[in-house]
Amino acid sequence: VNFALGSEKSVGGIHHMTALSVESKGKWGVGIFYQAKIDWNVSEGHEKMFRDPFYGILLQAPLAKCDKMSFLITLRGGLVNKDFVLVVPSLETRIKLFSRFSAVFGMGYRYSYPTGSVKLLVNLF
Amino acid sequence: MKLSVVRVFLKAIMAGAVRCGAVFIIVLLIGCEPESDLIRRFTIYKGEHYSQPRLVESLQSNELMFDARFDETAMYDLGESQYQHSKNKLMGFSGCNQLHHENSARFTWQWVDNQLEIYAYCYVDNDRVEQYIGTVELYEINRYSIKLTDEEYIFTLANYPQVRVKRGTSECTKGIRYMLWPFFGGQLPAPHDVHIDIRMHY
Repeated sequence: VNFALGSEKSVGGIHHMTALSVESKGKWGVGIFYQAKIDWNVSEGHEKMFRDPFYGILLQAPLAKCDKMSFLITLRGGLVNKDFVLVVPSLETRIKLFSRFSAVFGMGYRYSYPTGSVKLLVNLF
Repeated sequence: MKLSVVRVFLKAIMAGAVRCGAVFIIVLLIGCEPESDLIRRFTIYKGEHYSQPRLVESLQSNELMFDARFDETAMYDLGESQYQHSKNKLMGFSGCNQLHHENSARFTWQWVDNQLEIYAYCYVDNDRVEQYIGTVELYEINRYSIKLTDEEYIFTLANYPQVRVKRGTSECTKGIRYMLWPFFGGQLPAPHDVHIDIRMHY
């Protein structure tokens, strides 16, 4: 079981994300995710702090792997702003840092432009 | 022997890719360019209806907002009045999980009487609804917006009064609304290359 925390930059801004997934030894995985833009300058009771929330299911498949590194293809599908179905494909490179920690660098496609992302992944158990 | 060489080679490639990817992503994340300041030029080539680039995107919020600029290529003479008054599509989106000829909302344009006219153009439960909004100048950047409410599409163009079109009853509330990009016609294809610059606001 993995827990991930990170950010993704697209032409729509920086979205912060969190995900929880289960993964097989062969790096196939399935999980749930939540991401949103965070507006730190929100006046009380007016604007929402979390903008453009995007949540749903993520699927992951291995492309190539070795001891400390793996290339993955992921697909995030779900709802953005409650009502709009969205599917975002991405390619990820995962590098093992310590025994339970990995850094993940990704490139995806959203708003008809490429996106870049960076995440910290923790293997919980 | 061969396998180990391949493995070392693959590892070297992967390490290089990771380094390049890491640098790219760091530059991307700390880049200081203004967000959403990307203008895309759509071209409808002579003899074509669809614009290039062909993009696939879905609507991700209840408002589609963009800036658009036409140039002299928006002027055309198709001869017969029925063709000249045929609406060319600018941008919009389809109904929820529906084809755009069932339900959709778009801005359209036509070159008539030496001016560029902008219309709200919708399909509402398979019926077409058109409403004149205003005229825009060539080379001028104007702000366009289509807002989706529970009951209406609200069209806003620059400082013109808003145009409201009642939505169809057959639409769902959660689903995919695919984006509709610039398209020439109508019936006839573009008589010459047509350029439209569009900057999306997300």
